[in-house]
Amino acid sequence: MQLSDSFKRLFMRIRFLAIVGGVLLWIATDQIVGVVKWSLPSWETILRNPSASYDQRMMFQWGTDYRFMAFVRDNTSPDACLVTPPWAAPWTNQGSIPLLAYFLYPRKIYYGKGEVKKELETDKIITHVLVAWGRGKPTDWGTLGWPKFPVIAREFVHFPTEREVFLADLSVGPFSSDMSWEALGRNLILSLPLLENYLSHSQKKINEHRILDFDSPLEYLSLTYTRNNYDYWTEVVNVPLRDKVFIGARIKANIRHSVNLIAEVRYANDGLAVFGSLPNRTHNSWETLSINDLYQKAKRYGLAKGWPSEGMEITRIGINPGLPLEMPYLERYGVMELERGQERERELETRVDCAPTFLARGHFRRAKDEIKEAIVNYQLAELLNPEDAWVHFYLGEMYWKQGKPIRTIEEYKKAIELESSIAWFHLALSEVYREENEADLALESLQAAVKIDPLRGLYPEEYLSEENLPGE
Amino acid sequence: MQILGLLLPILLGLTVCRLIIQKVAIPVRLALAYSLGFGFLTLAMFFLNVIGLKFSLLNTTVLVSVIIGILWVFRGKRNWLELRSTLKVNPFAGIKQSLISLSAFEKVLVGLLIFFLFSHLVITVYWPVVRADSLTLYDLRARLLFAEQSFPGAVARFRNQLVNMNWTRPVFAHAPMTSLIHTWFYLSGWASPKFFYALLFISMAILFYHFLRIHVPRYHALLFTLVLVTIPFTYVYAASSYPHFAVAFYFGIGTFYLYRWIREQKWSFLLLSGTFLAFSSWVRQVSGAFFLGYLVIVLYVAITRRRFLAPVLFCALYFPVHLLWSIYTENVLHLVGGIGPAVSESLVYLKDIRALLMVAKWRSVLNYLWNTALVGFRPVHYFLILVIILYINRVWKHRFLFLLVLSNLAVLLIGAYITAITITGDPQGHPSSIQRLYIMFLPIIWYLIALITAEPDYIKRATSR
Repeated sequence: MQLSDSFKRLFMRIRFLAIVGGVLLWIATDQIVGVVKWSLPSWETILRNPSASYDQRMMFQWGTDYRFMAFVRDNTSPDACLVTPPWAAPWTNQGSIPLLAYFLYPRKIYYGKGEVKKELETDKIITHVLVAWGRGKPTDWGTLGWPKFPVIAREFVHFPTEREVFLADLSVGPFSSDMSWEALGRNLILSLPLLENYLSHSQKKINEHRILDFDSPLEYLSLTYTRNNYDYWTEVVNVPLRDKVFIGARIKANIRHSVNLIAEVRYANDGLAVFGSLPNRTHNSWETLSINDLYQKAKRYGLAKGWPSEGMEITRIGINPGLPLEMPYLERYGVMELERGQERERELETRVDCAPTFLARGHFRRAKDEIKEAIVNYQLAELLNPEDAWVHFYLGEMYWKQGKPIRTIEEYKKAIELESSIAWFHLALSEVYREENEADLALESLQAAVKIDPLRGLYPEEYLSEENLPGE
Repeated sequence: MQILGLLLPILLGLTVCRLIIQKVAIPVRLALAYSLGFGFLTLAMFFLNVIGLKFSLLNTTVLVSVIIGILWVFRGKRNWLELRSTLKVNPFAGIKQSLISLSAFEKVLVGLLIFFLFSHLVITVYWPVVRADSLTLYDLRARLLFAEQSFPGAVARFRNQLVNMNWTRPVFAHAPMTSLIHTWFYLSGWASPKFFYALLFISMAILFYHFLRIHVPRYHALLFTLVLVTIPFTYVYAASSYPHFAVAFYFGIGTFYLYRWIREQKWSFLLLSGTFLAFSSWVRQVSGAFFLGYLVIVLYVAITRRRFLAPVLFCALYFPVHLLWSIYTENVLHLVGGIGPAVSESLVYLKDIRALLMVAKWRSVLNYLWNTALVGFRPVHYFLILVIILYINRVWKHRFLFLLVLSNLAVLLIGAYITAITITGDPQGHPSSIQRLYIMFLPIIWYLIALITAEPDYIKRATSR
């Protein structure tokens, strides 16, 4: 009996120790390790940033997603109405309706789905469009970047983007073997005075601007932009403008489509106009940009404006490193304010005619439904910068509104010729063909659009039948 | 103003607490007052809204002050006597005494508890509301309520904010308690409502220790309180301003009081149990089905011990609060349907008994729960099974607590099964939802394990006293 009692006690003791020991062991190895593992990153942040602001703390957790929301909040008025990306990958956070409603409160949220492009024009409550790259690895180029449709923006404020431009051999010269011209061109290269910031409609910080002395001297510009429209850096030249004159330079920039060459022409009536070249096509590699037919361009522009073509003079040459990026390689994060014909006549008056101003005026007139005036302004923009694909696209849209399909198709084709990688141009052309009962051509253009950007949300539902989608 | 925001609910809680329960230690009283106070405060805000008044800082403060005043008048002189006797007690002397009497092992446990609770407090308060769901559901609603100070106003504002989309139901269908607490914090000038969760976590530790200490030795109570505090899942959720920890708190404390009522048959414990369980439903409406399991046990106890009023009181405390939000959202906010099915809806499935007898389906649901959804809680389950096997003789002693745990697990299983045969068609639900729900049961399971593993000598001493 005693033996059984002592066994019982021993069993109870062992059982008790096993449970308490097991619990202790489990706490030490599993629970405490788990809690400490979870707490350590927080403690690290707390000790490093004990007095971090709310925005900073949110950014520690949410990264770009919060930075983007805070940026939009800081750059829009509380009564704004914002079109957001669709709530799907890769915009699971940046397009999340409740998240946007929370962070952007009290701003109104307009969910970007389906036919939102049309709604932008018809629903006047909308004031802004978010520009959101999305999150994830860009394995599929087509699924990144919002908006996927053209936006008639009054202003585009974006995350700071650093642009680096190297410039060499900026020169004015003839195609002929006129020695005096060659000497002038050489002089310009050799003297290499620093370009000055001549005209600007942008928001930027100048990080660095200096001469780099390599084998041949280079001019280096490092600028951080948060708003781009145009930013002219020029050098005074004052040479008569003759036929076959060209402006040329070698340029290397860190971002594609971020810089072009410009030349200012003074007319005999003291009118001034700035002409532009094609933008750089590559990034981080040298390429030669030029304005080959400046005389013809200036003459055409003078005719359009009623200015005399005699006695034209090149007053300045230089670069525009503040060229707005175009879709689909738009800035990754930002917010666009829509052009709604807000009162800004005076704001658009400049002493020098340049394409961005006419483009803005075109948008302004268009928003007021003054299509003829819009076309006039777009045409002037096209004369100053005929290599801008979007000017042709906008012109095409205006002709379409006027019921001129042939001219529309012409302009859309010009846009595609200049920028064949923009899905929307193909899609717009496809729509015109469809309306004109050119089913085969419509399908061809649609397929080209889908090939460039397979995001289905872009395309009207009726387009998305299986046979219309290549490789599906 | 911030101090008022914290003190007013505590004062309300203390006043209510005094009415129900008299003899408890100061930390326990404070923990009860804190949790009950915030619960009643949100009910007061809600009723202001129902009668058409805004729950502004002023209106709510006036209403709560009037309630506190009435309750003080109701208790008359006893208040002053108790207050005087409370003030006479030097709490520091008691704390010093307790600290001196601690063994080395207990000192280590206390040190660890203080460390983890302090760490939790700092982390919780440092981070604003950052987790996605807490932002987009509970805090978003709080921001809207803060701006409008009424539910219809907040709903209208939200509908107006989302121009071409209706997202009102997902945001407003959830029970409102934590959002109202956030709103109260914002109204009182706090930048973040997270302090509430940190203090609730500390209250949980105090009350869990208190409930254990009644039955088990100090080191055992400390050890298992440490277990509870360091459960990673609970620790993280309590720091993230999700409502799941708040549900776990109110549901757990409600269960502990229910078990105490079963053992001691004091009405005050049943009152507290019903109130805490009601608040768990005011935080999230998921506790309905689990309450039905408890009700069956209460009915059994009431019949066998001739306490026929007990189930009535239990239901009278729970159901008005449980149904309040559903009725309000349906009839005033016109949000049809809820996030969780109503209690009555779950009974519908019991009609078709054949649907409940699909063995293969049961097996797959069990398999899903064990191997996927609750895989992170396996050690708890292993402990529970091991303890039941090793201490089978003591399970009978705590049979009602065991039944409470069992009823919860059974309802969870049935719920997962019903979801599998009706909503999803297969058992593969949302594992993280089940995990979050499961936080509710962890304090109760660990309480059971702690009670039945307590040192036998102590139990003998405790029972002989």
